[in-house]
Parts: sequence; C-alpha cells; structure tokens
Amino acid sequence: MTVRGEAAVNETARRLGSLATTASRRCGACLHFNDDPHYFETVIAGLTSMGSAHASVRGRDGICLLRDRFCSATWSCAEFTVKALSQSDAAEPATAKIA
Amino acid sequence: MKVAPLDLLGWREIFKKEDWWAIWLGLGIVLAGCALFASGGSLKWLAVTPAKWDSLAQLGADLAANYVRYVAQFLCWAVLFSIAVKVLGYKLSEFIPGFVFVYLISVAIFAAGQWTQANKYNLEPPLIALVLGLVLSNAFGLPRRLDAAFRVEFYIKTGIVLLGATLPFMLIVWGGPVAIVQAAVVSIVTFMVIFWASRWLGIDPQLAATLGAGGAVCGVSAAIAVAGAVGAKKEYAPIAITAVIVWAIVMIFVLPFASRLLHLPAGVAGAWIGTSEFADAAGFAAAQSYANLAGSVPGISGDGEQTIWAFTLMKVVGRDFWIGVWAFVLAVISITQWEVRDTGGRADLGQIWWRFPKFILGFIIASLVITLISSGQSLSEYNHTTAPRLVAPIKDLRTWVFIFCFFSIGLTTRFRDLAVAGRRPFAAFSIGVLVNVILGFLLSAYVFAEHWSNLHP
Repeated sequence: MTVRGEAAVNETARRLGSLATTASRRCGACLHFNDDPHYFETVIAGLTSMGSAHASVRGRDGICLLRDRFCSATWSCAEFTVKALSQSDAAEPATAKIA
Repeated sequence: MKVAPLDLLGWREIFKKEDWWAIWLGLGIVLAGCALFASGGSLKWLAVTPAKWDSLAQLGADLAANYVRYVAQFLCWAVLFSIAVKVLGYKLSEFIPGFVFVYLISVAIFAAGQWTQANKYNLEPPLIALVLGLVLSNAFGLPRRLDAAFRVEFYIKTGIVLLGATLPFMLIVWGGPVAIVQAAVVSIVTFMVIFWASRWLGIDPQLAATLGAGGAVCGVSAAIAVAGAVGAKKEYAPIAITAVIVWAIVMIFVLPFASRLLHLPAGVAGAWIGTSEFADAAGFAAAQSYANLAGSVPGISGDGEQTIWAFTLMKVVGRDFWIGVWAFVLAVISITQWEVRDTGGRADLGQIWWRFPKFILGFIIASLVITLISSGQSLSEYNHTTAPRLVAPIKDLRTWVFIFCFFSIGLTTRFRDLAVAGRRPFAAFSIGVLVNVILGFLLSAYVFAEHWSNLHP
C-alpha cells in the first residue's frame, strides 16, 4: 500500500471510529490494543519460564501499543482508533458481539 | 471497510485458555481412570514408571521389558497435548519434535531418581530436571521453535488437576481454612514490605505493586495479572518476572535443603515451601524434592504425600485462589490513589472471576470425584483396590507431567533473555523474600506446626 493510500485508510478508520458507539470504543476494539498471547510471550521477557500468556489470570488484558502500557479490553480512552478487519477477516462474517 | 468489533472471549475462554485445557486433560484422565476402574480395569498399564534399580543392567532390563508401555504412554501424552496446543495456536510441527525431546529426557530423569543411591547424592528428579534444563538452555541453547513444547504452566496446571484426585476432599475442607489464614498473613505482610520498600527506594507505585504481587501471591502469574489491573508500563512486568524467577530458582534448592538440615516433618516443610516459594511450578519442584526424602532419610518424619498436600493447600487454596481479589483491590487503589488516568482505566469487579485460575476448579472436582468413589469403602478395601488400581496410576501420571514441567522450567529460563531488574526493584523484592521466608517458617514450624505435622485424610 502506498503512503497516501495508508493515510486514506487511517483517516477513514478515524471517521468510522468517531461514529462508533461508546461501547465499541473500548480498548479491545482499538487499533493500538494487542492481546495476542504469542505477542505477549515475545515482548514480556521470562513470561514462559514460570508463567503463560494463555493463563486465565491475564483476564482481558492487552498492551496499548500507543502508551506502551498494560490495559484491559474493557477500558477506553480519547486516543481510540478503530481497528479495521484485515481483508481475510472481513471476508468472513463477524460473529462476535459488540459489548 | 469492516470494523473489528470489541471481541471478548466469553464462553470461548474454555478453549482459548490454558487453565481450561488443563481441566479437560486432567479430568479426562481421572474420568478415564474411573471408567476403567468401574469395569474391572485400570490405568496402571499406561502409567508405567521406571522401577527402583541398583545397576545399569537392571535398569536396562526394566526399560526393555516395558518399552511398549512407554511408547503407548508417550503417544497418549503427545496426542492429548497436541490437541490443546494446536487450539492454543501453536504449530504441531514445532510442538511434536520438542515434546519427543522432553519425553525422552524425562524418562532418563525419572530413571535417575529411581536409583537406590539417588537420595545419598541428592539426585532428586525435580532438581536433576531443573539443572539439566538450565544447562541445556543457557550453555548450549536450543532452537526457539521447540519452545512450543516447553509449556511450564500448562504442565503444572494439568499436574495440579491430577493431584486433586490424590488429595481427599475432606483434607481440603479440613486443611483449607488454616492454609488460607497462614497464606493471608504472609501474603499481606510480604506485599506490604515489598511495596513500601519499593516506594522508599523511589519506585513507581505500579511497579511496586507488580513486584509486591509477584513476591506475595503467585509469582509470574500474579505479576502479569496485577500489571494488567493497575495499567503498569509494559517494561514493569519483565522486571518483576526477573526478580521472581531468580529467587524462585534459588528457593527450589534452599528450601528443601534447609528443611532437611532442620529435619522438618514432611507436612511442615510442605507448608513452608507453599508459603515461601513464589511460583507454582518452582514450588512443586521444591516440594517434590522434599517429598522424595521423607520416609527415606533418617530424621524426617511423615509421608512424602504430606509435603505435597500441605504445599498444595497453602499455594493453590491459600494463595492462587485469591489472585482476582488482589487484582481488583489494587486496581481500585491504582485508580483512586496513584493517578488520575487518561486511559479510561477502571476496576471491573468481574475480574475476580476473569482472572480466577480456573484449573483450581478441576483440582477440586477431581478430588470430589475420587472421594465420592471411595466413600463408603473400608480402609482395607480402599488400600487393596481403589488405591492401587485407581489412585496410584493417576499419581504416577501426575509425576510424569511434573517432570515435564520441571525440565521445561530449566529449558525456558534463559538468563541472558531476562530483563535487567535493576538494583532498586531487586533490592525491594529481596527484602520481601527475607521477611516471607522467616515469617513462613515461624508460622509453619511453630504456630501451625501441629496442624501441618498431622495432615492425614
């Protein structure tokens, strides 16, 4: 994708974000939120030694890539940026509910 | 463009979290054992273990005579764990070679521990597994893709569910409250010591809380849970994890060694280890080491199972159980006291359940199932039928899965990969460790000594 194309997608995403409901503006639906267990185990040194990113204790936590902080999928903030589904994801109907 | 919805796991957690897979696997084995037992059979054939040996020729003969059973056991473990890790998102092409390696070395470790002179030279399987794993991963290095099979937490949780089947439910009811009281005292004191020492050293409250939880509640799991609850910076969790791992490994050797020197009764040592070890996996390694000494080393009274039972009650029921509550309380404090966050952070009461270590449910159900089956039996009937045909094979399978875990601790602990903890966080954590060990000893060996020494079903 070209730089201009990417900027256009981001702008569209921002506009869509502003239209999203308050509930869907939670961190779990944000572009900056990453809760992938494999990502966790890569960036949190030593986690797999005596712990696991697949454990229940992690709850609904992810990492905000914008703030470099832990946060919960149920939190929200002014920097919310809507996350677009990738083309392959978008090809399948989204079945998960918006909380 | 389609917008990604807020995707909370909900009921899908039962397939997406390791805790639930530990329940499915552990309870599946227990129920299979019960079904075989009811039909006159047993898991005994599959739960093969190396026999005690005096000479290598004797060991070789035993392994050769039972190789079909070992192959069958390996295939069962490989299939069960493969299903789980595949759903959790790992590649079987990475898991299977790694698990073949883990199993083969585990056979060697188990066999080494069965040497009749093993106790004399401190060749306890948990310690051999840990040291061997540490040497392999730190001195030689193994391909990273094999890490898919070094699932420390998954193995220990599955082992704890299996352990439930060997722990009478009435023992949980009888011993649980004392464990909760002792663990609460030690956890709260240790947390406060680490937290205030950290603050005194000028450490950020979120890091202080993450360090405190790691030292006071359940090690790495608590550190990651509390880091999330308080919205800690990403780099705080690795700092706490480094402190936990370093001290947990030291304690694997120190606590059983000190208990042996002091000739602590089996149950007392188990309670002390349960109070003063940080992570479940490390704690079980220490407890299993001491359990192997009980009954075979002069001066140590009690039965090895008492060490495991006391440790489990203290660690699982007394400490792990409450992680959600700790996370919720610290989240409330974080939001109301430490900063007015612009992150929209909030303290969800629901996290007491979200974060609850679900494998504990499997542990309790397994205990209930076996207790119900054996209820109404006379002691003689239990000792001659249920114990050898149902409980003993589950105990042997538990030992296998614990060895996979102990070996994996060593294999995944690469010291050069750990974050630099920094002098101040490490010092604050270490002060907490000192207080924890002393207080845990006093409560286990004096205040509640009578209780832990007499831990019987």
